[in-house]
Amino acid sequence: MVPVIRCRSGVCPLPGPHLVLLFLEQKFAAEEKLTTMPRRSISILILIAAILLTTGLSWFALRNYSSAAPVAEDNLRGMALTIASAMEGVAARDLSLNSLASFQSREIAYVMLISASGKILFHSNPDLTGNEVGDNRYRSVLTTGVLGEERVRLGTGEYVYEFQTPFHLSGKTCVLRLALHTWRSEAVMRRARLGVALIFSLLVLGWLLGGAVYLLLRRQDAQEKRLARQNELARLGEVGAVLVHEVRNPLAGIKGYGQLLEERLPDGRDRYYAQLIVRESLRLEQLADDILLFTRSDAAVSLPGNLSTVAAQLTVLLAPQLEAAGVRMTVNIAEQVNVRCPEDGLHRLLLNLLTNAIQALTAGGEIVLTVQCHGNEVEISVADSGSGIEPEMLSGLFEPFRTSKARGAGLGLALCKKIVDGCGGSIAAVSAPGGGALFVVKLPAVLPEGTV
Amino acid sequence: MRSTKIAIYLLTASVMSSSVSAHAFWGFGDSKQSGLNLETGYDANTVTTNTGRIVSVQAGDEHGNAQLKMDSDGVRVVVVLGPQRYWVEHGIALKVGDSLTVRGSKAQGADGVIYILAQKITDDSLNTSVSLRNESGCGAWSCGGTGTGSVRNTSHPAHMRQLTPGRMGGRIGR
Repeated sequence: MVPVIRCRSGVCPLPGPHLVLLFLEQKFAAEEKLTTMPRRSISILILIAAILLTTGLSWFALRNYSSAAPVAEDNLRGMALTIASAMEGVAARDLSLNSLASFQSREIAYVMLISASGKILFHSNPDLTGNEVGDNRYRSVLTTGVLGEERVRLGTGEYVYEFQTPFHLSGKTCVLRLALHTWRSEAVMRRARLGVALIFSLLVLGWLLGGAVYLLLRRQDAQEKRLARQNELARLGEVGAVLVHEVRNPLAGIKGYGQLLEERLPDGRDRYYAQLIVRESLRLEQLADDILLFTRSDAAVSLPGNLSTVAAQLTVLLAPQLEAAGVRMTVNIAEQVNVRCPEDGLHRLLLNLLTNAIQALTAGGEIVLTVQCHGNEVEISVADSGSGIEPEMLSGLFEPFRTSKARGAGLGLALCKKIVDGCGGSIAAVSAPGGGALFVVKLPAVLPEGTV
Repeated sequence: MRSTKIAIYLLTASVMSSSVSAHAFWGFGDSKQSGLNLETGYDANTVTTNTGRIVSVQAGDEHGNAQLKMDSDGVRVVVVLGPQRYWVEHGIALKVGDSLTVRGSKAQGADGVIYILAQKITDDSLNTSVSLRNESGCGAWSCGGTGTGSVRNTSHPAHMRQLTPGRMGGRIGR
């Protein structure tokens, strides 16, 4: 589908490059809008689901962990009460307490029976039976009758659960102090900790992998869009090349007859019209050349080009334009700077950049062309003192058919980029610090022989 | 594309490291450690007497303590014998398969293993005994001792061999 342009005299058969580009952009935007909207909605839904899942799993893990400690305490308390009850039964049957020595359990760190006076009536270490207990912690159990439980650290460095309970022995109340190993009972806490660690690790992993997948998809999406745009532009280039080929021959005839008329007609209105015909024919010829150059697929070239020679030629060539525009050009270039780029390409590159700068300096100004060597790279910079580049133009500055000029085709900078890319270099544009535009081209240098 | 791959590798590495650090944070990282004071720890309350057969002998752990593993009533216990240097200087024959009676302070480490900080060891096979600590748990290597024998750790790490009969802490007898 080709956009149709309504003219005063009817329908214009050929679209201008700006209009074709506008059409393509609108087409791309419409397609992007159609594909982006449902994808964005799905992305938001997935994000909400992931947040809810994360919240739910975190809540579950923390709740499980917080309930594990009381469960472990209950286990220990239950075990202590069971052992105490069993020991009370054994002691009731054997008042000599000798039978208590045979009471074994893997969970018991030690056990002692303390009389009201503080004497150890029984201890799991027989050597301590009959000694005085070394602390008064048992007294609170005797006076209040309430169970005592706490975590204490033994001399071995182990933390044990110490349980103290009133113990009735032949009508007297003693205190049973029971220290239990906590490792087995705390298995539930270890499992809860493991669960929390696993859940949080998996959540972090999930989020990070999700982020990575999102980035990959975004990258792929951008590549697909870029590819589609390149394909469209390539198609446009093919059409343009055919058109240009068909236009060039009749254009040569128009220009020739225009020049003939310009020479033969006397000064006056008719001669002015003939000059207009020649000028516009030349502009069209230049546009046709640009389009042909842009659409031509060059083989990779590595011929060296001398920048000094090209700069000298351009200084002479552009002198009338510079003088007419009131622009002063300064060239800072070391002699014999060779780059891995053919001279005709260099000529075109610098001509476009300098012409661009001259056109930007409508009220005169200054252009500085600088060439510097940095190791195996040569940096060419063209700075002007004009109004600079508008920020919205920067992103698509080197794309074809993008121009802010009323009479430009928008191929100059695109051609520059094509030349630089073909030579394995790079080109960038920025607004210069002191105002104006700054174009920086980096090209591979041809090092003198013997240089590493 | 390469930067994306690098980003993914970095993400994976960070996840692995965060997982490991989380593991350590939640207390699983030290599962190989007992959390006990195996050098100077002792508690008279937990003193017990255990009998069993030696399964393995370790000349020195990461703290330089000589240890042996023993099966006691189907339970694997680690008997902490004291500093390795002390065993190098003094001697008692201990080898895999010997029947031992060990008296010492028992503790369960954070790794779930039962440790006995040995106070007295009796080799039931040879009817030989050695006191390594006094009743309050102070080691012969730190509270002084009168042992005379010598011990050499042979090239086989699971075998400590007595070179000459000797006494440690004056409590050895045959």
